[in-house]
Amino acid sequence: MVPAVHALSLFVRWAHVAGMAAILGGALLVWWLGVRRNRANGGLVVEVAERYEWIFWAAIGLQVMTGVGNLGVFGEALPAPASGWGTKLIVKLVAVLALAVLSVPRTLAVVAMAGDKRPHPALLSAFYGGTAAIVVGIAGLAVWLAHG
Amino acid sequence: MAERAIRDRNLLVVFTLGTFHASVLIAVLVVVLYANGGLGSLLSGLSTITGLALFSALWATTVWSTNRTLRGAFTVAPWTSVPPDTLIARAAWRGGVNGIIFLACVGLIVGISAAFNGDLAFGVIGAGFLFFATVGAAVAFVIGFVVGLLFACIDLALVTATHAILDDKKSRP
Repeated sequence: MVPAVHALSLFVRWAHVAGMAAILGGALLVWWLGVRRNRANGGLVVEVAERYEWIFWAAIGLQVMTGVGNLGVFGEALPAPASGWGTKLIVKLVAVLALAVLSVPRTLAVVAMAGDKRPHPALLSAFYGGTAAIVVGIAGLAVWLAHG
Repeated sequence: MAERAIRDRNLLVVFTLGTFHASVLIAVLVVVLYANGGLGSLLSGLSTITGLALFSALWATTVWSTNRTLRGAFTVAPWTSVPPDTLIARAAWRGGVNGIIFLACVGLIVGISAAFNGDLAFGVIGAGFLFFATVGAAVAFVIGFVVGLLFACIDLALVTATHAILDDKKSRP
């Protein structure tokens, strides 16, 4: 039988990984639809992108919430910021901040494209390719942190 | 059908900006506290459930506050015809109100958490309420006001950047 506190900790970790998977998987899907624009029409790509944006922002909120929860498990045993682990954590957090800031114009552009019915598939591909690249970098840092 | 699509797009912008504000605020606080060495002791004093409830409350009140700020402001989302200074003033005021509402949520969540742990006395509740209702509310309003002002300026810069990206795309052959 798993104690309730461990079950909650496990759930928080699962939600953190699932949120990251949703962000990365969705970005790759919209990027792929964008680069295949000869086969998928621009309107469809914008529609998928619009739905992805809801998932993306819900997942970002979840990432921050569960990320702080994961740090809370360390308590007083949290490694010092000057340590190698601490430096990686700060770099990861700054990368998450950069992802959030850079994602606002992407979402606003998708909303604008959906509003005036003028999709720009090349721009969408650039937005989502860039998002996927940043998320891969953050996921790499997360794996590196998890292994000390 | 078209009206529903417009409403959904407006809601997406509200949800995006509200989530952006709550997440960036917490991420910045975590970086600053961690770099100063105060994060471990703060987090060790909070249970996981309390921490999750506090962030959920901040997220919900911030999205609500963003919705109130942007109500009636969209022409075609994300664009607005409301002058920037009006939006900034509205966002700062709503930020202050959000600060007070979030403080009330903090009081409620921490109170419930303390009650479950069995370390809550009626005297503590009374003193806590008096503090939250007076000094705490004033401080929360000022902090919320400043944070709302800062985020309004960041949002307007990001909207301008989006305009520039889309205009550049349209002007290309």
